[in-house]
Amino acid sequence: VRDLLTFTVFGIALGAVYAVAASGLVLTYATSGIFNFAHGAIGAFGAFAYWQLLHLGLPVVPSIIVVLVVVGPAMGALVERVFMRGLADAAEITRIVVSIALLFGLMRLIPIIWAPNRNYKIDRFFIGDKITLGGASIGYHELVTIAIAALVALALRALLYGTRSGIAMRAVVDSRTLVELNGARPNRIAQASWGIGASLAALSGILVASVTSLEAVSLTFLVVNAYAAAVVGRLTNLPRTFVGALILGLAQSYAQGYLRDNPSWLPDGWDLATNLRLAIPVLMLFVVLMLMPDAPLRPHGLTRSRERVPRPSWTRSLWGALALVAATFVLSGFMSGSNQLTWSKGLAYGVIMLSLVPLTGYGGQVSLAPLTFAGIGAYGWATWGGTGGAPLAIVAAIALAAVVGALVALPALRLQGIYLALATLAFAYFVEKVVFTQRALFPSANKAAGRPTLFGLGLESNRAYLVFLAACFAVVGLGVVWLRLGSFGRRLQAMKDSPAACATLGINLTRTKVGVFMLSAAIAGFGGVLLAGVTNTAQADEYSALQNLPIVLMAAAGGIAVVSGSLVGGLLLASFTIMQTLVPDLGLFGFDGKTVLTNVLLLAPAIAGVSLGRDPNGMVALIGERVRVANARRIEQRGAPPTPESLRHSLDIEPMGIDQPFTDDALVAIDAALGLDDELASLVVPVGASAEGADRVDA
Amino acid sequence: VAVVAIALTLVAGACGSRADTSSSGGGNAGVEGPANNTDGATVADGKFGDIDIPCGPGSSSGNTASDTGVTADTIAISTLADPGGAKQGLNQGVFDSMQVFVEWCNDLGGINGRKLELSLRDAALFQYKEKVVESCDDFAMVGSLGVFDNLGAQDQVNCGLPNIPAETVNPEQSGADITFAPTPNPPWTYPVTAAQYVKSNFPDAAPKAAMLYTNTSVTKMQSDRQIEAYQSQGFSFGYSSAVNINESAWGPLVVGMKNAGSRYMTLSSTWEEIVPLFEAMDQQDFKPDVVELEANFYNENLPKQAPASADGTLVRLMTWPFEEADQNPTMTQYLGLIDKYKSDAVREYLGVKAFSAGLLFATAVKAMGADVTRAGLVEQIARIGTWDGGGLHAPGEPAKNERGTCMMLMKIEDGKFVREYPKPDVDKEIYDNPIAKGYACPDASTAIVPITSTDFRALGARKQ
Repeated sequence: VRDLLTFTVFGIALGAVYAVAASGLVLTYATSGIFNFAHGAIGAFGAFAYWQLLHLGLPVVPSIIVVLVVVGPAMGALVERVFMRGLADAAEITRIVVSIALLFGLMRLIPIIWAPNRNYKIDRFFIGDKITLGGASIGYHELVTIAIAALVALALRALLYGTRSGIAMRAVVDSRTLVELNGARPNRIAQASWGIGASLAALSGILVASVTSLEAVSLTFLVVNAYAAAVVGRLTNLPRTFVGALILGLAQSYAQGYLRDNPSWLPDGWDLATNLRLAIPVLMLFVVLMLMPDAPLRPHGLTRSRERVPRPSWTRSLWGALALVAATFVLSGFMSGSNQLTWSKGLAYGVIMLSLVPLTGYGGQVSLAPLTFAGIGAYGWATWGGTGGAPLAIVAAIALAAVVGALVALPALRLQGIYLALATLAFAYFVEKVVFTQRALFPSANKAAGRPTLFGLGLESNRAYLVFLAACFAVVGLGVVWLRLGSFGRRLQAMKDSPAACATLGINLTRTKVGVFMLSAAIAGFGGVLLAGVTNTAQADEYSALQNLPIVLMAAAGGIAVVSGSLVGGLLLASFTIMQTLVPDLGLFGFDGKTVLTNVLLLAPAIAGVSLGRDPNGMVALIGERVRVANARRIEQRGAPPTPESLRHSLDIEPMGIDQPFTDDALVAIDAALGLDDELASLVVPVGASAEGADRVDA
Repeated sequence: VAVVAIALTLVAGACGSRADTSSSGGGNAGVEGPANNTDGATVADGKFGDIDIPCGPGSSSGNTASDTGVTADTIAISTLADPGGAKQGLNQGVFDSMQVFVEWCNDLGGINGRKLELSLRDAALFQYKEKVVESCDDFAMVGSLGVFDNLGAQDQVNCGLPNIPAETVNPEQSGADITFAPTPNPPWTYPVTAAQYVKSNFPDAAPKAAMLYTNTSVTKMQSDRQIEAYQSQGFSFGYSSAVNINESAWGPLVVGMKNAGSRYMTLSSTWEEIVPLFEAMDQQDFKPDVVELEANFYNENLPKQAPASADGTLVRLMTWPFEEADQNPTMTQYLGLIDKYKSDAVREYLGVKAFSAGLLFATAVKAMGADVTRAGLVEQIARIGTWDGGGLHAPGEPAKNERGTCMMLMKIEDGKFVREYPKPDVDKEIYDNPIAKGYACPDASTAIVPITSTDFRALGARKQ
């Protein structure tokens, strides 16, 4: 009984920390529609800021107040202004990757400000003091933590129900459009809620750091534990979130205390008790998501999505594939062995990212677990292929990934948007913590893996393997293009645009979803086989849940709806290491130039995120647009057939007649966009056009 | 960006190898064997501790470009570590130490007229293979420490690249060909001197042992090895549990250990993890007879952060403690060089080993004279036999890849590390042993036990 009491108090204290963290998440999500994956990173930043203030000699309470009143709100407001504004109508994947970009930006920024390897430590409150209750020892720290959570709850209640801005926030949650029509400014409201959210993040960061250690990476990701609590509140309801946090804290504490022994029937090399115990937060996240009620099918596409899914052409794709293989063959001859390996990894990442093109790019389903499926593929390959690399093992490895993909898809079918993304992330965590840690699967940290052979030809040379990978990317890429142009691709597009319309037309959404999930898992699994071949090792640690985030981020940065986007994303992800070694050693205004430039490079993911927020179609689309504009200009300069001015701005057609009046130029632009040539267009009399035009028709 | 980064540099306890002293002073170039050098004696000119400094003025005339990475007046070497991985700054001390070594050596004039050209290659955890392949164009890898060194061991062996690491971590690298750590740490054996010390000083603790480890493959493997070895010494682990990286719910685990009546505790993780564990133990009034930890907990921030109740915690060590630098002129010399060349260097025991690897390499190169080849390097290291970095650490025999028996135990006390065993007064006989003064050097037959549950020996990278 004494233990039960102790565990209960621990559980409540743990739940209090989760409650603080989750309420911040909920507040920002509810008012801005963005699930902030960087919440933990903001918390870590806040904890470091708190350490800095203590280090400067400020006492505990004023330090906390400065962090909560100055640092937190300033960060939140800045984040909202720079990253999040204007994302409210963006596609789910854009909203997700922008906050992931912020996460990596902050994670890199913290060690730049607070150099690693120093003596960072935040003490508990009233360190060492405790009371004894019914034989159980309870620290003042735990009591203070619980009190803080209670205060946060009361303060939020007072804010949301007692103040004007609080009422405005609740109004935004209910209907953003109505709030706008009533003359309120949702952006201002969102900014305020981001400020409060960041303060709550910082507070939770301080609370967590004082019972663990002040270390950027682990603090950033501890908040993942709080996701389950936020989902209990359906990301909008604060009281429910607090209840969820309490349940989560208690579950974790009881499991830690009571779930000790493995069942006796479990064979050697398998461990359930420990691994499940450590995975309680993600298990709860998964279970709560499964219990969510069905969301009604979204009847229409996003009101004004800026995301485009260009229709690829066969000829260009074929030429592109050939060009990729040929270019790789030629360029690889000039590369060092180490760079051949790096670019090989890039291409393998590219194949893994390709798994997101049909799933996310075409089908609009967000998965945060592509690398986990790659890990499953790599495991299958290392297990069945051995070091020699039996060809049939590739098929088996891909099949394994696909089957697991289907198993995940079935329960996740009903989920949409952010909930689906969270479910896949929970799955990735589950695999990392419960599956990949089984000694029966990975006897030591890793498994030796061979490289596939090609019609009996070995690919042991790094150059040969690089060219082989280029060919693999080309083949898979063409397959994805073929899919896009076929009926399955059209079904996916339709499902993304309007699930309700699809259902009405008799398209089987379930089959489509499971199908595309399996396909995506299979592609990722194949990528995993290729990746394991690069290092000749399936290294369990390399497929940890969080490693998925950079993959998704870079896939989106390249362009998630186009095959070439995956290529660019994969190569970029791999090339960061090469770029770092290329940074020149310049003196910059007395600073260590190399360090400054390297740091800028490290912040590149954050910069990618900002630009994705502005233009969510990724680099390939951006470059494509530039090239089109440049071509048009060049043709004009050559004096070749003049291109109508408006063709260069063909994208401006969209708002015409809605917020801009029709003009003659506008009509010409529409003609051009429709493919009517100048001659034909000149024969058409625009309504209300000049008499001159009418004369010509007569003639 | 792996959080598992935290997989760390778990290095099993003890130290250099050797029970016989036959090779000391046996006419090796510049190696006089581990003489007694711990009485505050000053170091003679041209000496680093008790070895001749291999670097000095020399002429490049007669030198040729005799092998990969070698020209008439340069030798290219590389050091690999992971400070740019998910855990920023991990093992930065290895880079810092090697940088100091090379600048110092070149300032003295290089080796036989050749200057060292050092490339610090950041493997950022998972890019170890690429960095090894990059290093194949260098003459040798010196002073490296890769958390995932298994990824590149085969490539290193395949391209004939000699590797003189600060430490090896995974079995693939530990058992690899042409790899010579100053203090070999093969996974197929385990040192049990600390276990015996605990058993004789805390007789009630051994049968009531508790093992905690973070849930990563590397720490899991380490804890398995320790349990197997300690059981052979009469330990019984009634409580054994995995914990999360950066565990936030220590309380229930502490209650569990308390209920199990645990009186010995150890943790396999990064050093940071034990601080909140100590605080949770404090709160539950759980005070085992003894807490005993591996060498990676020897970090000067640990005693500063740990609560007072952590006093008495034992940490195994095989490098000379920084706290006793004044009693070891070699360590004084090393710290002086760090101050001179890189005053902001991270001071950690792995840095000491990296520096020792640099010295070992330079000593072997100097012995080769004008004709510097990879084959010659391997041959010279084999000839050097016993090696203690001039007195920086307990002796080992790099060429034999066998674990040594010498080690010492440090203890946390009043916010710092102090020596626990052997003490110069109480354990005078052990302290003044002829093999390595200041360390306990029992016979290998009792101090080292084989690990048989996994065939680690078979995993070492072999030339294909």
